Amino acid sequence: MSELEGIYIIWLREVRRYMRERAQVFSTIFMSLLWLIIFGAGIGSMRFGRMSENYQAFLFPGIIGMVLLVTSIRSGISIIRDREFGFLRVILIAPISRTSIVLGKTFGGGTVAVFQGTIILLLSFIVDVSLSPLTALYSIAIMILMALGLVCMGLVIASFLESFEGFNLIMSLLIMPMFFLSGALFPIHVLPAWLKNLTYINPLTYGVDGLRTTILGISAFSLQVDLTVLVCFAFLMLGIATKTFERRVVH
Amino acid sequence: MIKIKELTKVFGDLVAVDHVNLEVHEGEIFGFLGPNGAGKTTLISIFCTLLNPSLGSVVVMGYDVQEQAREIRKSIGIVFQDPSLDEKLTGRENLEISATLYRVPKNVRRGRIDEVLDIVGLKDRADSFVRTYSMGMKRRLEVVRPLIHHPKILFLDEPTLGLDPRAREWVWEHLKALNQREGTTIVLATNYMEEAERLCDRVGIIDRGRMITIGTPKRLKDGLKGDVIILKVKNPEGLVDKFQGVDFVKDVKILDERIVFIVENGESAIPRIVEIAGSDRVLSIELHRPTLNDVFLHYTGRDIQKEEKAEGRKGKKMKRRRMGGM
Repeated sequence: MSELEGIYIIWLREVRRYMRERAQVFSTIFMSLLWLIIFGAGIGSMRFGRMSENYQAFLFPGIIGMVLLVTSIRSGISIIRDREFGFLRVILIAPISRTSIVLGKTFGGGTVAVFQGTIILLLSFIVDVSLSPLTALYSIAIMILMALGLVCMGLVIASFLESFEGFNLIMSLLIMPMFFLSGALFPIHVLPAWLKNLTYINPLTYGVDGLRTTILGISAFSLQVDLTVLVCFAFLMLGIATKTFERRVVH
Repeated sequence: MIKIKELTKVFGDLVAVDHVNLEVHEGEIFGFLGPNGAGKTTLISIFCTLLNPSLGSVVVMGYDVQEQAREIRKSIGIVFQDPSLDEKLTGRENLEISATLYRVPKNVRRGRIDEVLDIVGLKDRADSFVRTYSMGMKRRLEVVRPLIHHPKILFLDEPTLGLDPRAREWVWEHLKALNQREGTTIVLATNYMEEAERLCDRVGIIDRGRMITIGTPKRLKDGLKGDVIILKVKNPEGLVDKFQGVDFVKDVKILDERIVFIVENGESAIPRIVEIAGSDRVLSIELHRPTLNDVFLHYTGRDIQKEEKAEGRKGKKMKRRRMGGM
């Protein structure tokens, strides 16, 4: 049971650190509102394509997806900071398994990301979307699946980065393309074939689609497909993260 | 307590540790003394299971460092050379993490944390963020952090680096007390001679990955069998040869602008040295009993304090490799 306690204390540390980073919480909320209100209103007023419904509402699950993507990957990558400031060593020499360290980090980062996503979810009234408690609950469940996979992805990326400055590079090379190619901003069926294919291999697509299904009842895939992909992605990333973590640490 | 056989660690083409053999006994304070870059951090990292040896074997408390790392980790504590506190947490929260990771039972955890905070006199600052602490406070907290799980062996890498004399004194006293009270085996790496002399039962002098000599500080100094005379002259190079083969001179070396002698009887040697050197060339002359620095100089021809630069150039990445990739 002490492994569980170890996971718990690593989780607790992540959550405590997050709670003390007010500026980051507010900047994420602010950025989401910019997208929803300004970008959403602008593009929405163009009434392009066959989209008849409220564009801001369509965009809403996409922006939650973006918040999860950015927050999760940032949490995963934050392990570089632990390395730079020497704290990671303290955890590494403790009698706790590498898997537990990865799980603690993942749950911690996941909690933070889902919390951020939930804040945006609760702001749904801004874009005229009404939420039932059940819808909120389903959405949170999907967010949890998304966050687990994405935090682990951040952990994997972190093992290839020398310092936290590399985050900007990851932001433009990975996070932005993943966001644009996730169906967050436009429906997948309007895309040309080559972009469509890229969208299909992006795990975020299925998260955004799942959220859109529960929140708006609009979907490109069935919920079963969305959930299956998200679960597989989470387990795959968790596996890779544990492996890379072990290999990078033990020579 | 620790049995080291033919231990070797290679990073690329750098041999950081070169066929080291050693046994550290239970209950002793053992110090690795050597300049920066000598391989001390690498050695400690291997003992703590952060790095695997390239060759040879290390057995800690009967457990092999490669095969049974988990068992070793439970009963050791380590104080790193670089800061390793989470500055965004409070002092108490930092200790809580260690206490939990080391499986200190829940019912005694709070008591232990208070106990440790009390030792360092940080009880009233326990709930402030570590980033608001002074350098000395942070270091003190780091030094006592491993005591929270009562380790059988405590490893310290340059425990008093960057501390003012008072804080250094404090650390030494507490380590001595811990060793005497609990019988904790202490292994430390240092390039402070004074630290090695004051604290260690035995010292292993290490240079460029090799163990040069091992013994009690007293035995190492007595091993020189003589006094040290430092002579400052103009153009020392030409002069050294004159002293080769002179009967009372046991060893003579040039160090920067000075000539360092080891002689049988310091007091009577001074006039004879001045005579040979020629009194008009002598700028100053100094006599002292041997220190560990003289022992190091005797074996390596270099000054232990003067090796600081080699380290800085290799930079952070090299350092990280020695700490086990992290």
